Amino acid sequence: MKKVTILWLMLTSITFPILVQAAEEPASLISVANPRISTGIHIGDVLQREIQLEAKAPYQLSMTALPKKGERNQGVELVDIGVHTEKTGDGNRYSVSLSYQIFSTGQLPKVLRLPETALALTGGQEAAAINVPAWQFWFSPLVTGSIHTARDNIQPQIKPSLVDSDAHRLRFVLALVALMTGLAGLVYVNADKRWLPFMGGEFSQAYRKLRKLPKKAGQEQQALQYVHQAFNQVYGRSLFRKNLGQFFAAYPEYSPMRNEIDAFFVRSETLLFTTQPVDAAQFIQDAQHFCRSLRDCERRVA
Amino acid sequence: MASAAIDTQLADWRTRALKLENEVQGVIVGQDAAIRLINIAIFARGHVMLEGGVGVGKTTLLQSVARGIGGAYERIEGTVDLMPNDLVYHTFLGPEGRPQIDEGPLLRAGEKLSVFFFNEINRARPQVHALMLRVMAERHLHAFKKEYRLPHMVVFADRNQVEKNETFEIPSAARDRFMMEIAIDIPDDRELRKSLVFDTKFQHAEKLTQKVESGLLAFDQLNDFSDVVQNHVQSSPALEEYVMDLWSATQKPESFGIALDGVDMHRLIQAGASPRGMGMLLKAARVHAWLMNRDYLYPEDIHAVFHEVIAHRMVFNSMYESRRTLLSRQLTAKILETVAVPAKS
Repeated sequence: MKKVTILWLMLTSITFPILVQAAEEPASLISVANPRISTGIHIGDVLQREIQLEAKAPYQLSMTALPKKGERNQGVELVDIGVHTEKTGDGNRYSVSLSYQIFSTGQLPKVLRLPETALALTGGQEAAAINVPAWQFWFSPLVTGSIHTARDNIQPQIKPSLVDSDAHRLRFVLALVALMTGLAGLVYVNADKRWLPFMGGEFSQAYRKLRKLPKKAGQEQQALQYVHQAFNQVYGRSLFRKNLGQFFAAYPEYSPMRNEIDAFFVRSETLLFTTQPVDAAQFIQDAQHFCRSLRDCERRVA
Repeated sequence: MASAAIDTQLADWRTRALKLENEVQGVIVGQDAAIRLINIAIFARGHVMLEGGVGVGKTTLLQSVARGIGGAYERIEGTVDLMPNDLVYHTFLGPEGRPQIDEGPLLRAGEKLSVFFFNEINRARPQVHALMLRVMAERHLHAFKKEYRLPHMVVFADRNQVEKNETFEIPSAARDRFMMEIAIDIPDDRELRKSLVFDTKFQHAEKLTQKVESGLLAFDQLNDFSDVVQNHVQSSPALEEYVMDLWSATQKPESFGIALDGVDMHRLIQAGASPRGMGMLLKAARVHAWLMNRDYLYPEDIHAVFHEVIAHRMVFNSMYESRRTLLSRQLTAKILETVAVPAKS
């Protein structure tokens, strides 16, 4: 009995102060989550620590005493810090996120550490703090030895397997050819300059001049002159209405416009050789359309 | 005269003119173009030179036309001994055995003379040409102490181009008096040729000409009506510019870029068309426009008569004169092919 009593007294004398102390701690460290990998860390890598702690009222985490962003220790720099506060029953739960970036250099692997951190608590009668222990990791240099040996250390990478692009390439080429052909066709039909066969012909030039001709009275004879001159150039001599049959026989590409051409010559004769009034603007516009159609005949696209 | 009345008159005369053409075409086959040109000359009151081989129907053609015109028809043959007085009078012994003087073929019909046909004019001497020149220009003649007026006379002359012996070249001044020089060629069409040879109706030229209705045109009204036509048919500024260009081209074809094979164009022309020639061109063209039932001149009216009115008026350098017929045809064709309307600005 005496022994049991002595043992009880001894246990009580040991555990009581601990229990009292535990009951009186203003804050407690819940968890520390360090990076998953502690080896093969290179310069430029960012490592994160997630710290969770609880503070009982009236204590709370001192925001002003948090580690300062930019602090550097042995080439490890705190680059970001974040705090998340969550209310609990009789206090607060804090999640502190610390991001460190490695700026250490060296030619050989070495041990570095995320530094020990003290998180201060305020609000109570006494100062209190939670100490987060340091965390060690292996820093690996990008190259071993000097720069002169870097080439020797280069290791071939596994060539990635390529996606088969033949079908896509074929479709792309066909689409490109179709696009270019279409564009060339549009240019051939619509362009005024001469850089393809049958382009820049007599009616093309006449059409270009007609487009620049102001649509006003007094210009209709000039319009006629442009068109007739083109006819004469094509025919190789002055073309009159009575010669249209020979013209179509010699230049069958204009035959689809036989009626329009004959009508034009009739209208031209009326305008040039009689005194019948004419709407100059309308006439010049008609001459433009007529000349454009002749240009299409000239290019064999009518 | 009111416009409606003029229109009626124009239409009426056009009907008659076209009827004359049809009648003559029924007698003379394969010469439609020449008949149209003679018709134009009649209404333009111009003298005509016919040119062609022997036996192509020139005389029959003229006799047919003369019958259609009405009035008196006189004819004389050009010979090397023909003298001007042979045209004016002739002497003979009368019934009493006394010499008598009578009016020659030129004066015999007086004012009723409508057609004077001078056959083979190039066989006549230059003195005869000179007389004809004056009569053609002035249409009157002083003889037997009085003035003979020939107001309705048109001269149709014929020149045989085949024979050159005992012929006298007609001077350019005399040629210029003729409004037209019309070629009468043998038709190219084989069927027409066959008809000319095998159809017996062509064996009797006199009977043929009798088929043409006599006096279709009132010969003594042609002068007045010709003035009506000339005043009625108008020309636009564009056409006038075109005619001016044509005239320039007859004078300086090289400046229009006209070239003929084997010809130095700078030396070809000694004299281009004369103002009188261009005036006759427009006169004839207006008649053509009227026949085509138009009130305005078109280039085709000019083209229809250009060669026949202009070619014989151009004077070539002597080195080219021997090729006149061919070169003049080529030149007038080239001029019409080259000169554009509206002209290049």
